Amino acid sequence: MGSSTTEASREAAASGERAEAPYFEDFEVGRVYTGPARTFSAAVVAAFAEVSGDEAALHTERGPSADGRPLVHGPLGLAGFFGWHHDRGLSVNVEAAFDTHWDFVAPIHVGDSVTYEMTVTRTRRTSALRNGVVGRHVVVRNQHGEIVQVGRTAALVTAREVVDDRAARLGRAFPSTQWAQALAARLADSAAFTRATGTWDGTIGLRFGGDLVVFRVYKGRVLEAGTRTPDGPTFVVSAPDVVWAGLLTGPQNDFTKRTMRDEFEVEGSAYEYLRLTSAIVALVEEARAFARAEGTR
Amino acid sequence: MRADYVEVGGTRSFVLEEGEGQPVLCLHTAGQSGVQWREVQPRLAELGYRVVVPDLPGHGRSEPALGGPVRDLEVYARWCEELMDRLAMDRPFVVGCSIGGAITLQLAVRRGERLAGAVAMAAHGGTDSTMLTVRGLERELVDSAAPSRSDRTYFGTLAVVGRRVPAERAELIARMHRREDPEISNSDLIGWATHDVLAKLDGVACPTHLVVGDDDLWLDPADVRRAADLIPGSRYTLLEGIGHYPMEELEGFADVLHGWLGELNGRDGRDRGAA
Repeated sequence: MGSSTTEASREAAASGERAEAPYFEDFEVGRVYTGPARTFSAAVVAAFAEVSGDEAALHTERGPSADGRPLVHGPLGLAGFFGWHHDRGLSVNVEAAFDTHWDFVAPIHVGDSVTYEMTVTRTRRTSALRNGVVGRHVVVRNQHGEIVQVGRTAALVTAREVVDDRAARLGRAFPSTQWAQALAARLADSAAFTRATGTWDGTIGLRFGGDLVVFRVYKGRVLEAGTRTPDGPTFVVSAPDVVWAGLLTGPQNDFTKRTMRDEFEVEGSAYEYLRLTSAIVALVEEARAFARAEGTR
Repeated sequence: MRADYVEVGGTRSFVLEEGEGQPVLCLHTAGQSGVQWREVQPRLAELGYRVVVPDLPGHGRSEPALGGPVRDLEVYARWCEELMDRLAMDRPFVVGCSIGGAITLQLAVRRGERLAGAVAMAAHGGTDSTMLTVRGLERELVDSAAPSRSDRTYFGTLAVVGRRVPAERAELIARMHRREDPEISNSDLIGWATHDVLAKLDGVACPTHLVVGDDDLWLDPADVRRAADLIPGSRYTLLEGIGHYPMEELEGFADVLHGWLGELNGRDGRDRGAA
């Protein structure tokens, strides 16, 4: 089972990319990690069948596709991510793996070569300050570039220094309440936002994966930012963490393009959402500036 | 350059004409006007064409169509035929973009044998129900259901201008696109979402060139390619870094178009090729 892992290690070492093992501080929101492909040979799949006990004919003899190639176990694709993570030298300071959600989008067949692409979507230093939780989004593609698995997984990673740098790193600490409150303060100085909401009375909700933050707006001013308001949000703009991370840390404010690609969902009043088009673009613009500034004023 | 109000379809329609030579009819996009061709027209005229740029009924300085906002691109195609006949445009080229491209394909289907050639940009000839639904477009025909319309047109235009286009240029295009009548634009888009000439493309009897930008979020280039494959002997071009409005986005577009028209002149349509 270790043969292709060893090959990958050799490739990684040969590429000379291996730097110092990353600590919590090095996993910056928006950063993308890639690496060499990994092939799931018949021997690797047989070994996994034995270790897991899932020796179903589907994996060991004949798969459902026309050519009969057996299917790689879905969990092997997931396990392969952790192997890849280790191979890339990213696991040295990992203390624990947390919540992991994995979607099997398309089959992986024996003999397929997959690549892993990991995007850091959230970081949060723990109150103990000596480590932090890193949220990651993972896309697994086969040798044809087709997405076969998509996952989210968090890890507890040791910090390089035991310091409270949370204020300095607040710009990318979405979707925490502290981030929302700091963004609200910045929006007070955004002419585009205050102008676009100058006649508005309502609450904008932004949902990052499962977490909601709300901005209570009255005539251009954000009265309060947090996780709830008495009447709830007028509308909520939702997307997975990886979409927000890309929008807020990527090279351009491509909110409209992403809406055209259906990357966002809207709940609540669609009318008020459309009415606030330029306000939301301005809010995103300010959140992007905040992410670049990496801190409070 | 000559500006005229021409009686077409029973209404007064605004037409800008410039140059002498082989006639070229240039068609604008949904809700917009001939102003989209303002930089192309004089340069193309210099290159030896009689360039005719109309505002479709209800657009720009043209009066609305008699039956109200047009929801059927074939109505525009018939209007273009009347205009070309009225202006005695003999063996013209037709060049259009988006709904203008779709109308170009309609004209190629309807009277290809009388055209010198067709350049259809940002059009795939089929119905389009993934991005736009007739129900959604109908809903937004009611003004009270369509908030922040001009902001959405502005940001929506910026989103479909290609990555090669300088920011100031993209800004100019998006700002000018705010000048639309929402009722006309949405009716145009209903026409776009429902027109379908795919089954007739194999009968197109003029040299045809389909063009699409790879940053055009409104279209999948594969659909344009498929339409091109249906037209005998047609050409297909994918413009890198360009979006939904090649004639506004691509610097020196007139010269590029001149090259394309020259190629179309050099090749016969299927019927004449077989004759």
